[in-house]
Amino acid sequence: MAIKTFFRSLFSKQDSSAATATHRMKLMLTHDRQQVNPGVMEQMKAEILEVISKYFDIDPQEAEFIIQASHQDAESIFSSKVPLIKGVKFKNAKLNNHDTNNSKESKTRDKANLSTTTS
Amino acid sequence: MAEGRVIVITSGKGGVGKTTTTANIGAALANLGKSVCVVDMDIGLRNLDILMGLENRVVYNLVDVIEDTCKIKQALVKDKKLPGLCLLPSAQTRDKNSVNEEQIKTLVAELKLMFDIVLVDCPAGIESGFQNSIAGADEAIVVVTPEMSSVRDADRIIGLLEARKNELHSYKLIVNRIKPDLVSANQMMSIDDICEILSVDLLGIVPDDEDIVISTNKGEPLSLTPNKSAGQAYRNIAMRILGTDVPFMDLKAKGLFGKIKAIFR
Repeated sequence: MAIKTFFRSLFSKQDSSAATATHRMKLMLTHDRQQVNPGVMEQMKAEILEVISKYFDIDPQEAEFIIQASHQDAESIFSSKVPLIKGVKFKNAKLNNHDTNNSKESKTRDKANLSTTTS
Repeated sequence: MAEGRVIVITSGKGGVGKTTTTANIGAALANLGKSVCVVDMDIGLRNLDILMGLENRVVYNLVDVIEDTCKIKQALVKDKKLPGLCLLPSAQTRDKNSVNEEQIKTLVAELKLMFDIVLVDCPAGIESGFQNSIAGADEAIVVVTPEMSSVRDADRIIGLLEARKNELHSYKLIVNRIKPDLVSANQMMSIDDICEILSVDLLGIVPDDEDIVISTNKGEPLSLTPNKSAGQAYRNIAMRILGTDVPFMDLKAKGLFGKIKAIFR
């Protein structure tokens, strides 16, 4: 083993830059391929948070939305992390207001430009 | 006579070997008995004539044909050695705005009637030169080197080719300038990784070869020289274009020192 380590230190500066490049490449291309306009992305986040907040007490400031490559393959994943306040508490009361909320939501949707494509 | 195939050779990034690939595949296809026309679409930066050693024979060019200054046959330059091979040179003193897509489509349609295979050497970039080059093409070859910047640009090009899949029915990848020592030592993206990242089929792999420099200096495509690894790679690609199933070259590290290096990295 010692000999192998010696030779490795002699010939190699780092472990595998090819693996690093491949990983960076996957992340980069996933990002490149999402032709999502940032404004539309913000609009979508707001709408998602609005829907979730109907059912849970959430902290919108701490919510995270990420489009990334999965580690196993080159497929993209849209993942969101929305922290709930005081554990999981289902807001039954809000469901009664469903109709009014719904009309408000459709108004905002009219304003959004949803003509983007995702790959 | 059946219509020929128009194949555009493109990459997005410059300097990855599009022109070298065009010259070598063109020569290899002609050597296999096909009639081939290689078209230099890099208007203003003519280079393909140099790689083929035909720079002193250029009289008219592609823009002259489009502007009706001469007939196609007057502009075509016959290769010195291969009877089936012709070059349609680009203009050196004009720019890419001298031609438009419709004019190129008409020109290419005419060349298709005269040759078995028309190889179009596309300029770097994704602007009008690229759009002109893919106008009228039936197939595309994307050349990529195992570098992140090249792979990223290739991905962009593939996206643009995909958008035209009604006209362009296939596109395949050539991974150029592979350094076997570095691949064996896991210090260069492997061919499998690149194909997977770009999700595209492989047409060929070409090792990095110093002989390319020498063949360019001489103006003789390497694919005509026996016993050269890059030359063999281009000959294999030509055979695959014609439908022969040729196995990919084994690009393992060569020599004792390379092997030892590969083991210990």
